[in-house]
Amino acid sequence: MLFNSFTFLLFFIFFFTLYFLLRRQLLAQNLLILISSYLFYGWWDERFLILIMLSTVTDFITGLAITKQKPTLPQALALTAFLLILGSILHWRTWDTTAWTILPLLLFVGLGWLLHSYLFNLPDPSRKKAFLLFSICTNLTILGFFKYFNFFADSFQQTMALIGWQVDPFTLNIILPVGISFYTFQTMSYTIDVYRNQITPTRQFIAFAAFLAFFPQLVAGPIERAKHLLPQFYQLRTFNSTDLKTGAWLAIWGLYKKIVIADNLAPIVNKIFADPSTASSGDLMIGILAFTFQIYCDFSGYSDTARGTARMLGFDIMINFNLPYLSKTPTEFWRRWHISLSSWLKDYLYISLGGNRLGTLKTYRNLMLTMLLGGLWHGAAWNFVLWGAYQGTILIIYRFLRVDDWLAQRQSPKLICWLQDLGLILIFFLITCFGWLLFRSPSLEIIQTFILGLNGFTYSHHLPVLAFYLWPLLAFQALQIHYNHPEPLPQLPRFLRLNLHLFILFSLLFLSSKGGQQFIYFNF
Amino acid sequence: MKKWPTLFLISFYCLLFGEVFIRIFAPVALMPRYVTGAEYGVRMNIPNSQYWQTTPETQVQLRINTQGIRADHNYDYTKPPGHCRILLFGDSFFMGYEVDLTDSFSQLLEQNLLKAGYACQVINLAVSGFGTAEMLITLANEGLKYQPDIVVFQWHITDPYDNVRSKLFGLDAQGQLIPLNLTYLPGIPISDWLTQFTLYRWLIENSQLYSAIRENTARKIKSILVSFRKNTSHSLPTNDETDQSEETGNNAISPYAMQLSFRLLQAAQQLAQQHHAHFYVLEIPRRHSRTEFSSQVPDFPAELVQKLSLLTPLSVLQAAAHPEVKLYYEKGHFHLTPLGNRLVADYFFQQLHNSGILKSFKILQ
Repeated sequence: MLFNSFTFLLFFIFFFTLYFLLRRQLLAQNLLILISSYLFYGWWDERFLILIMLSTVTDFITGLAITKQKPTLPQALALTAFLLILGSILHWRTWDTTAWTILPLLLFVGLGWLLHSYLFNLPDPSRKKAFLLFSICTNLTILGFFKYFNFFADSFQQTMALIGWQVDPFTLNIILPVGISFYTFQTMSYTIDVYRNQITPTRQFIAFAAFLAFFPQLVAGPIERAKHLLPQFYQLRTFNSTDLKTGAWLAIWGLYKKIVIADNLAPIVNKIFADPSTASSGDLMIGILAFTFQIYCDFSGYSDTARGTARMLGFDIMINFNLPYLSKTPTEFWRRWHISLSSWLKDYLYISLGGNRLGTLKTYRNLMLTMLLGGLWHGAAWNFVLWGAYQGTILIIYRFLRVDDWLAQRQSPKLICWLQDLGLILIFFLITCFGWLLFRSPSLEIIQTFILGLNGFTYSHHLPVLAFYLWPLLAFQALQIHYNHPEPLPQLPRFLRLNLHLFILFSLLFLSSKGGQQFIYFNF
Repeated sequence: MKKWPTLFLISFYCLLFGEVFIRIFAPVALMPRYVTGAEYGVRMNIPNSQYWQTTPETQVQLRINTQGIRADHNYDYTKPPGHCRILLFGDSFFMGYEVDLTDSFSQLLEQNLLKAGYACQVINLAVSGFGTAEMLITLANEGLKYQPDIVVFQWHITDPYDNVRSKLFGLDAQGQLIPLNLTYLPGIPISDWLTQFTLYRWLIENSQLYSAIRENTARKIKSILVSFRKNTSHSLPTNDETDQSEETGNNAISPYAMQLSFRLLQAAQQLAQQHHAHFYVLEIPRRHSRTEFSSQVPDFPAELVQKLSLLTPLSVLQAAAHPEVKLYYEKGHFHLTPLGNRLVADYFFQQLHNSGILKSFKILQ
């Protein structure tokens, strides 16, 4: 079910009515969120609900076990019911319809119980570590199998072939479950935070399951932290007209970015990237520029719709994009682009590797490793690894040049500072655009064709189309800068606001791309 | 009490904003379609109606005679002695949407025939939105009254979809044509009621906002209807004009829809031949770009192409194609331009002339 579909609109109207009617009953409301979220997710492929449910059970139990707690009787009953539903789905609609397909689940439960009994009695530091390891291994095994198995199998085969060994291909016909990278990182952050004593483990299973499956941000983020979102499931949500209005506006603005801007730029991008050898230099530039804005509008559009939808339900979801193309340095860029992922990588990977505390060289190593894994997180393909390496290199170069330090310490006159900022923004924007070329290109040949083809400024007939779709975005961003607020509309005069609302509404009605596109980040 | 005037003003402002928005950012063609229900259960042009079609490329007036035919005069059912009558059945292409009457296929064909000395009348019974099933019903109930010598059915890629959608006919287990419903009048009761109002008529001829909303809604409803009906492909063109857009690829047509269309054409041919009329099917090729067109004739069984006298002017259009030349309009509903109509008319005239069937008719001095 896509946000930009009629089905979702019907789903949300029905859901919201029930949600509103249950506004005084927390448990029922959480249960409604949980069931609706599973319905939302299962709309693509109900089989993959099993993976979310397994992660939910695993992290709920390990969270408790890390602090030496066991589920209470009602919790155990809830878990049993949950597992029974899981078993039913597995039996009803699995890869194989024989009764034996239930065996892996029974094995998982049986072995899990035995392992839990054993680990639970270990002395304190070992028990905590063991349970953390168990959770991480379970989640990464699921993620690794579904997302990376074929990639590594394929790469292994090719590497062997390079050194003269012929290995039979052993790739599997695996479908990538939508949003697996997002919810896996979300659930892992919960367990790691419990391990680090940053949050107390939840004892409310339904609230926890609803937190992990919360449909507005389930399939493409933002990757929420338990300490921010989970407590919101513990208390009754309040409805107020401001949240409803601003939430609806944010959701609609997100849809505008996706359907009107990103989807209308997609044909230009697809055409130019499909055969760059026949494109002029101007076309190639426009192709890269169009993708730069397509990916931004596609992803930030989803995030805005997710945040807006959640706000209408009384939830606050973290901001995920904050004018990223106005960044002066890569450090700033990663504080503005996909904030939930970059902060996740920083907190759980970069800092765990030692961050910048182990000397210059190790800092560089940590930066590179973090960005390589960040690249790989986006997908099982070498272009993402290359993009990660590129981002790591850029971070290292800027760090080596101490650009951030210089920016923090400079004491030039305001005008000079402004000009310097402008120059740095332009330079870094070009660096970012080149990064997107690596990200979007399916092969090294395509990258090479682009680089060789970019040999001067020529006019492209795609330019007016690009300008036509981008000017409202740029105008809105100018408002965001002017009011220094991500949502500047409430500060505008009423008449201007009405006109902006009408502009967005009519754009959605009449400028939407005819061939609806899936969100790019659904593949990650 | 002050609330209502304010609400009215805001609503009026919103509509005005929408109209201005559409005209600036997404101009659409104003293509009103004045059709009503004929007594034989399918659509017909509203007799004596006159209306304008306005697109960014052209503005034309459509005048319908008292018989529901796009013409400036009426026709007697009895044909003049020694004269040949050619009856055209088709949709908006044959009806001459987006071109003046003098540039329409029917008029150009008649001119060609007269110039060559053939005493022929071309009567255009085309109605926008028609599929083969509706053409067949019109032929049986109205067309034959005109005592045709030649019956020409237009063929276009949208016909298989329209034939399934209308549910006028179906196929039985043996693949034989069977009538399913007696009428197909989509949206006619509502449009009949609305057309009474001057404001509505003004809107459909002048408001781009109204036109855009109507087109979008109709497209949505059509796609929902199709998805509910069996034996149709999921990737259907949305209507007979918009599927001509450059970005469309090949839409798969279900074998059922094609088989149904073959049977309908065969039934029309039989009916024409029973009344001693020659039968032709003339394809309007599909436009992909200014220089690329495609024909569906290869999808027809070879013996059927010959049996039905199925003709396609594809080669003529391809020969005339040039990046600077428009054979189809591009900013309206993708109908043939005057040049496109002329090429098709010349082609068809040549085919008729070469076939020799016109020889028996009076030669004008």
